[in-house]
Amino acid sequence: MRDASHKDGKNILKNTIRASPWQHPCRQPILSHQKQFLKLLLTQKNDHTARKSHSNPVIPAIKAFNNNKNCVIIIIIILALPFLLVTFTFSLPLGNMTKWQKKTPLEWLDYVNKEVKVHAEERHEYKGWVLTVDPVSANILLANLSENGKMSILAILGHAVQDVEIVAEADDEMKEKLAHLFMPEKSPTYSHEELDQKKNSLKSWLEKNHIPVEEQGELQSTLCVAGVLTINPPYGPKDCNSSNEIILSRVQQLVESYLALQQ
Amino acid sequence: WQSPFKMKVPVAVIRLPRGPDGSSRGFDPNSLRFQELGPASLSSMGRGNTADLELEQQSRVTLRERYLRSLLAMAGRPVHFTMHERVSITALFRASDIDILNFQVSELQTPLGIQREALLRCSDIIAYSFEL
Repeated sequence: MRDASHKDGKNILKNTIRASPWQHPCRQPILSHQKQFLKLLLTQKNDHTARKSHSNPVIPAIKAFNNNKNCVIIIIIILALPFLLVTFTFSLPLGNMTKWQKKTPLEWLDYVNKEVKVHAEERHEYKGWVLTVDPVSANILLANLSENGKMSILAILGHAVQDVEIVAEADDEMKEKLAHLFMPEKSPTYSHEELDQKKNSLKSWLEKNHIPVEEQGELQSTLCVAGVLTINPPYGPKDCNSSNEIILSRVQQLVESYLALQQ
Repeated sequence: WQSPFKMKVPVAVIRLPRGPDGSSRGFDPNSLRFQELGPASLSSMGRGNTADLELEQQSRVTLRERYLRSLLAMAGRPVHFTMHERVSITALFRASDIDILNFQVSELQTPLGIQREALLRCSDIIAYSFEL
């Protein structure tokens, strides 16, 4: 008995060694067995669930509902998302432009020098002569003569304007008054020789400071700095024009220091 | 207590706003502010037609110049602001930004006292007035 069991044990040992994965011929039967077993398991499981759902299809649905209440909340949020987005975009202060803000500069120009009545938000009403409408913010600037002879200026912000009615047109006297309200006082006049002298001395001084200057215009009266800034007669810091703020302020400072040096 | 990562030499931090280029209105073209207020937001009639565009641009210039001059005239004067919810306050006007979104004022007289310096959002203001 002992010997036989011993022999059997040896055989088992031999078989297990043979079944190890690096011994090729023994692998296949085991793998196919496993596959078959798995297949059997899967088919059994399928049959099981199928039978259950056939008997009562509603129960699993209710169970799923009870298990994830969060799902319902998520679905509600997804449904509400478009509405939320729409309300959000319309509530942005910059997003919604009023009818008044959408007007073009030519349309705004029609209101200038006319007496108007402006209806604004929160039932505010204003009356006055239109001085201007800012084309960037659509703010309306109104002027009114107050009792003590002073001009009172009133501005209604473009976003608050609801309606503008024209009440009356200005006569020439009023137009003149409105036009000269904020305009600078008349500057002293210079002769051609004086201007030429001013131009040449400024030009030479800028060149001394390594700034590229050219003469421009029909009479070569405009100085052009680096192709982006122009200086018109009488060549003061307020006569500089440029779309680049940084260059503008630098050159204006230079011109100021030049004028300070001369005095 | 000392930090194990103590800097030997302090590093200067330079944070300057992005400078304007020729086409922008002074702001980073990728910023939300620029997208809202950039050239595309300007209302225009004559797109493509150069004569119309020039006429429009001229009227825009005259309107804008008058408005900017009014801001210059307003600087340093006491200005009365009418805000939302029937709030009205007085302050000395100092400056505004280029798209008229904020006003810098000083000596702002609030119900709680006088605020030395303040920024007013223009979206909160309905109207303002001052005397010349």
